[in-house]
Amino acid sequence: MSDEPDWSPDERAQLDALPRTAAPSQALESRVVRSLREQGLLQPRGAGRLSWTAVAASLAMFVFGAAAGRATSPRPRTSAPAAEGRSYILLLQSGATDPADAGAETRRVAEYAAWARTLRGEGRLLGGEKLADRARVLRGPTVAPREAESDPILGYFVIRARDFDEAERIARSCPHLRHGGIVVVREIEKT
Amino acid sequence: MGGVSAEERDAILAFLQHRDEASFLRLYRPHAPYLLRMALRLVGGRRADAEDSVQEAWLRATRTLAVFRGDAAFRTWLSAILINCCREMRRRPVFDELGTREEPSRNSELAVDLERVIEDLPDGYREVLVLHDLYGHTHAEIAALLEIDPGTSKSQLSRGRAALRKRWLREAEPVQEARR
Repeated sequence: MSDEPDWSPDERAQLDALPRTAAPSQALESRVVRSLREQGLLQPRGAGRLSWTAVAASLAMFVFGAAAGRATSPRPRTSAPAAEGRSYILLLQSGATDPADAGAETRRVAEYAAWARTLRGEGRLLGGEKLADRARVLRGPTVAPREAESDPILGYFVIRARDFDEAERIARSCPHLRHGGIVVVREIEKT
Repeated sequence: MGGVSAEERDAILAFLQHRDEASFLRLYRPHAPYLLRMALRLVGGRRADAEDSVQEAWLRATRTLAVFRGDAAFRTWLSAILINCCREMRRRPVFDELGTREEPSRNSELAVDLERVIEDLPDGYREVLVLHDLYGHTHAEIAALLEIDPGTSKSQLSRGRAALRKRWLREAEPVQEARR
């Protein structure tokens, strides 16, 4: 609570009478739109429909790419060093593709797929999935769950590595990092 | 998106999907008048600086919208971005040298340019006072918006109110004298 006494009714009325909005000019609106375009945050005028869906699709496809890798890449070498060791999970967070560059989606999908195939071929990749946007947060038996539709974890890979350092080296090679994303490495404890 | 209405959520998703002018304006237009007025107050009434701040806020917002979690109301999230932009604007070395003030809307009954008095408050006082007394944010919300302790918000409000009242009375005195 403030030590300063609250406003008197008259003062309060004068404060309340101050406007809460100001009419923005058409020039400002045009300026904002133009600057967004210049920064690649809006599609160029007349461009085809840009694919934020493609961003989601790319995330789906990188996992499908991993799945495709299972089908198309050479079978894991039984002598692969990663066949032994510990399991780690790589949690992929944030990192949206530049929405102004539709071609970036295709390149990104190819990158993820190639990376997954390589790992699969080396026997290091155990699995991976894209996570849907919808999340429900539970905080106790009596607390109402909260919908959190934009949870930062977009997907994950499970890999095998000799130790944490090797897991980190693998994570560093993940293309997600080159797309502004974050990769969190966690060891999976055997229970 | 707990703090976001269904309509806003649809608008946000439409923008993320299409990234075109129409979907952006669906986000921009409902909030632009509010943000511009807030910016005017936070930069001391300078129209050009307020518009620059609003423009920069939208740039930042659209860059990071994909990771907006919806924990806060969309307008509150935009306000937080705008407040940072206004702070950066005020730190510009030429800030005090350039720009003309917005002519405030006057209420002839009041005779006191309250808007101007608020604009002349020290930045720390003005931010908290504007957010609390004009926009109705709680101290907890202000603490999150300004990245300060709630106790600091309370003390700044107390000092801001005292400073405003003092200046307000000083401004009003000549008017009252003139009426006698």
